[in-house]
Amino acid sequence: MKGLAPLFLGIFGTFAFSWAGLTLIPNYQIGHLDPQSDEEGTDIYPLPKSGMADRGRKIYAANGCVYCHSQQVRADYAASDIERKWGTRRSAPRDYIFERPALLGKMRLGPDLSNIGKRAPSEDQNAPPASTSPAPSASPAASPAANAPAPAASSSPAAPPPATAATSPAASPAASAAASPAASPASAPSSADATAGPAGGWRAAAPAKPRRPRPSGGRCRRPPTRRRRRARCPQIRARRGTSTARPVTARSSSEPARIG
Amino acid sequence: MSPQTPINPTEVPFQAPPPAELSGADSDVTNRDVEQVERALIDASTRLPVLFFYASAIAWLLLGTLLAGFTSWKLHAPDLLADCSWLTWGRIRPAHMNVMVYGWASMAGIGTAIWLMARLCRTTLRHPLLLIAGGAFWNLGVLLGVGGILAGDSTGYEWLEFPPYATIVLFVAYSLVVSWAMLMFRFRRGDHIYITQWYLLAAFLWFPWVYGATQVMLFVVPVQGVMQEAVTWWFANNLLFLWFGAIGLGTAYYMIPKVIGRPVYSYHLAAIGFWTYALFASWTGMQRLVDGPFPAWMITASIAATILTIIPVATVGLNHHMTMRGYFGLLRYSPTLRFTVFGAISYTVFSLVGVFLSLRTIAGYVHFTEASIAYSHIGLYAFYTMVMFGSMYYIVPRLVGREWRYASLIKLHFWSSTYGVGLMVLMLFVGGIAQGSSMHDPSLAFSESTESILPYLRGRSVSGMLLTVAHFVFAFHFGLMLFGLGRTASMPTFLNPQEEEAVKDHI
Repeated sequence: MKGLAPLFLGIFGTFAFSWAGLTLIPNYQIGHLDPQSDEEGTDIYPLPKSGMADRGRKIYAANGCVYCHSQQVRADYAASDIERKWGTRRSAPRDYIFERPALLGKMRLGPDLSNIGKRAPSEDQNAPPASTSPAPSASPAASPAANAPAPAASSSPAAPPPATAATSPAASPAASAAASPAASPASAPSSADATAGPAGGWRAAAPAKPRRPRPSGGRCRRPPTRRRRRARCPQIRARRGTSTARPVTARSSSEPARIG
Repeated sequence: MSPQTPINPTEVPFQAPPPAELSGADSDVTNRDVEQVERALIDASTRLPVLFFYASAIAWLLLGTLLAGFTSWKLHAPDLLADCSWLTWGRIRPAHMNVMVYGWASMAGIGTAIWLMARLCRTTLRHPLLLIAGGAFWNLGVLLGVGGILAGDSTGYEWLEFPPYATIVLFVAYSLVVSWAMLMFRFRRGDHIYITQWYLLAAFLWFPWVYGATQVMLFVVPVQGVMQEAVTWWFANNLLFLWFGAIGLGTAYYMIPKVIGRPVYSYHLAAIGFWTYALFASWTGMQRLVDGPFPAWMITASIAATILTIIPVATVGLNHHMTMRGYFGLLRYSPTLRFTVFGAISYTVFSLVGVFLSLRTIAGYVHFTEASIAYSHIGLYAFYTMVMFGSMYYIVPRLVGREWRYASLIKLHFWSSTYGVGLMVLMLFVGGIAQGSSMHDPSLAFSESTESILPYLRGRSVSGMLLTVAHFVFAFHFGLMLFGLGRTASMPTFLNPQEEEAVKDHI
């Protein structure tokens, strides 16, 4: 090595090249996207998530849900995500412009959770018909999201009360999946979910169950229904709801989505 | 002085092995006694800070190993400790990763780098308090960060889960360390800059850049949407390659020639390897986002860069191989050499696996599976950590003035580490492919893919037990050295001392 200057210049130069090439230029390209709308300025997509969904996102991040669940749909030529009905099209950068952190995920020990609010059957479709508040006495294992302030969760000072997350109307997976921080990860075939909807988990439910027709082509254009979603992560279901829960009675359907 | 034999690593010349064509020019340093005294002084001056960094690193290693054990075990026994929010799988997994990355790997690397820098710059260490303060701050930062993660304060960015208050402490710590390193380099003696110093200087300059730039882009002036994920992966890959990779390669470039007592085979190859490494390895990273919501050129550029890293891998591997040629028999005796060569070979494997996994056809199957965990473990464990173990086996006796007490413990450490990481990588790799194949087939329920990997996850836990044994054995042995219970001998501890004569004849 002849002299110091070339060494230092080279060390800086190569790395500046990488920095510019992989972060600054892409940031120029896709880092400043705005929501899109139709000609009349309505039908804006994507909308900012509501405050509750944001709190759910924080819980989702804090408890590492991202280590098992992705939130992205790959193109049909590359993977079977769309055939699995995880989305109707591949994810695009604009889908995530309001997400912070953007929890794309890198591992699927659990199923993908993009659009989960849209595609998972709402709680009332499966729950015992009379229960507006999913009663712990009826089926403790079946409604852990509603029982969300499990002892573990409420013992954590940093986490906001998970019950608020579970009531989020938005289609955020964070809202439902993060409800039980103490849940362990994937791969346990849940034996306790007899009342928790179709056995066999996410995928098995999909073909068997006729779905309502949905507007196509958009990731979470708007929440299709404002009902509360049930957390269906097998790990969450496996947990016994030793509930100190305050019963969740109010539907949050009155909360409008906020823009801006 | 006893006559120099290649077996005895303490008696090879101190000066950095010069290139073959320049060896005549470096002949001004000939007085071996002066060198011995000089070396002893340098070692004595680095004793406290390096041992402090090593001891902290090993403590973090043990904690990280326990966390890893829980992480692995809970994947197939999810009820284990499930009632404590602090020990949720989703929290101990990032805690494990961050303890290993910032606690063990970084601190061990800094410790080794301090020692190598001092020796290669041929100056005694000037401000040891600066370094010890840096180490203390570093420990504090990791402690705060891990506590934050366990308490539910994670930021949600992978490899960057430490909450901001821990990050700031880490950055202060790092500034102390790096300012010291620059001082050391500034006061170096001699014009020659050895290969190891290129790598170490580069690592010391790259780390603050990649860490600082990422922190700014994620938390100070946050980038929008998916760019956060791009920045996160850019960070993670560059931390792996340009921080750990550079320290590991630099250490291997020092240890291998030093132990066998030969100069590096070719400086030209080393230069090519270094610059292509800096150029190409820094561009990898986005292939981990394959098929994600990103412009295709980003991912393709990273795949191309990953393939191009074959060039530095081939040159570095060839260089090490040619240096070692004829001396492979020494692997039976020298602990340092055995660990370091294992690491150097793993570096080649690591890069080739990286190329394999990055190809789009393959990535369709292995993306979102455990195979990426296997890849990280080849890099951070089989390559980097093994090189660090090797350097510790070399450096610690020179700091405490004793030799390692039990050859049997070193052998146990080596073999359980080797089999442990080998089994882990095998399990995760094969399991990842099985998982990915099930996931790829839409006619199978998603739960099939998770169930298909379950036996492999159990196997991974077994491999984790081997690694746990290795680490505790090593920590025990290191503790003996630290408390002055090593052997007092003039000869280093060989793995198979009784065969020493035989190998002399053989060479």
